[in-house]
Amino acid sequence: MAASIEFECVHYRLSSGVAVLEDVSFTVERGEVLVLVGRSGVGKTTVLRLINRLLLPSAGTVRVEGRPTTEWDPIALRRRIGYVLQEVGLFPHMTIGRNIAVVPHLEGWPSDRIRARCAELLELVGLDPVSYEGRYPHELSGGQRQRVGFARALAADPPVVLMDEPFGALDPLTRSEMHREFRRIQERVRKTVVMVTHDMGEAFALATRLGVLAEGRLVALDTPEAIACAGDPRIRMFLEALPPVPVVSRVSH
Amino acid sequence: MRRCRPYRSYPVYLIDFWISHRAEMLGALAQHVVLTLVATATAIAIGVPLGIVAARRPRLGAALLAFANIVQTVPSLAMFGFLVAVPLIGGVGARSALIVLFLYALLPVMRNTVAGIHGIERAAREAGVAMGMTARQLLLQVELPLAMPTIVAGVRVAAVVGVGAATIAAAIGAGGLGDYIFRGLSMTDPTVILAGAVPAALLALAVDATLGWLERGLTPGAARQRRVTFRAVAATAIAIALIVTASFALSGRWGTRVIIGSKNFTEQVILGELLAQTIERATNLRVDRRLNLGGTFICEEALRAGAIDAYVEYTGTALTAIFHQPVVPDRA
Repeated sequence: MAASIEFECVHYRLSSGVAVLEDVSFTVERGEVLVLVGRSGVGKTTVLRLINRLLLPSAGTVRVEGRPTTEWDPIALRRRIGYVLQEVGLFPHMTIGRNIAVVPHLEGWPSDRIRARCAELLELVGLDPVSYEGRYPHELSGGQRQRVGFARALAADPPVVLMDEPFGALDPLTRSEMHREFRRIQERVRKTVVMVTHDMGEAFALATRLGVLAEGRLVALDTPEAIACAGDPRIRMFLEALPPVPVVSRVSH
Repeated sequence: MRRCRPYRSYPVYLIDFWISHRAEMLGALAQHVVLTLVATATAIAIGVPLGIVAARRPRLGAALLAFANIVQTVPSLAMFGFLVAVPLIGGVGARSALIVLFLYALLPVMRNTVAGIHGIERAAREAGVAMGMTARQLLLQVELPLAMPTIVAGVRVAAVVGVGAATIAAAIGAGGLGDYIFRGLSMTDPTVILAGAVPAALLALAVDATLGWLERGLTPGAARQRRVTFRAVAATAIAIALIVTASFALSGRWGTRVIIGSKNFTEQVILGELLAQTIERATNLRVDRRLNLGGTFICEEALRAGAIDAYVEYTGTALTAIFHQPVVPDRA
């Protein structure tokens, strides 16, 4: 399988000189779900922002589909990458349908194709197109908004989806329901997903591979099973923060 | 013995006055609406883009807002008087008045545009950028629509303040409802003052209510977009109808040759009118009347600046107030 995203000795420093990421290297294969865990402020979001060129690395190279992000036109790159945020970031002045249609609209799709795609995506994320298309974001619950956010990220069928603590603001029951939904949808669409979270349980529930970030470095990157047995204290720390380690329940691929 | 008018019957006098002056009243109202509307529209056309720039570049924005703040602190009467003497843009009449009213309207529009853009949720902007919107697309599809209720709130303040400030524009011959207020003041007749002040206040309230309604309609989540579009269209249609009506009412005032001024008391208005009619009878020139200008200083400045061609002055006033000569008393 070809690498979809590649980090090669990536450093990222703030303009103040503070190092956020140091010497981070990893690859994400096509169709894989890579979940990065780490404490707040450890540079997880920076990793995502380096992928869609909201940031450029201070040193090293980030490649998306084989091309360094510095060589991508940022607009073209971002339209090939779906983005899901914790706050969802739905546009409050647009209907659900219009929100989902943002990227197809920017790409100039004909309106009947946008309409069909929108209905298809609402079906996919488990919302009835007829009753939800015309509603506004404030009329939806947190979980429903997050489903719409996911549909919006998938709208133009991007090969890559980035998710920044997508389920962080949801209550535990809704969150585990969304985990099931995510696995069901990913089973169908097979996107390359990079997700960051500080919830180790979520990481175990969703990851194909799991990376642990600590002090700006990637200290581990392996399958959830291997991570669960790791002896490194920087990894054990996260495992011990979990409630009694859950049985790893994943849909096998 | 002199009897004062009983207070309770003011409304009766007022209504009598309106009925007997109805054609003139409607003209003054139309002038007033046009002054406010044109000044506010210009402030939107210039203030919103400036606000967008100011929101993007904090240092430039601070300078722009500081300038607009300073303008706002100048008393409007002083600014009207000052502008009479300024070449090119100044003079008496509607044009100078529009410039002053525009400068007053600029600050609220600009400040609210900046506040509206800064007030947008970080996540919405970030989502737009991350989805590959260009700066222009982000502005038109996300930032401006979300900032719109705040911008409209600024326009609302600008328009209401503008209705008030436009009454003072009568001092430099711009017409409008302020004519009655100044006339009433110089006649010490409260009925005439109220004849201008009451419609001006009602106009301000009507503008406030209309724009408030538009503002609520534009707030995301408060209403469906279709209804908002309808409101915007309705408001625009009303505005256009007002402009058309008013420009018909005003069309007689523009494109004239000789401009006759006068100060703002009855004798002066009569003298100015006599002068105007004499010229009209004796020549083929068209005469524009800028009567009721707010005092000697404004008449003098208007004359010097070429904004009026003639007004009647008194030898004593001319000697002391204009030529600043000492008064030579008679030897007793």
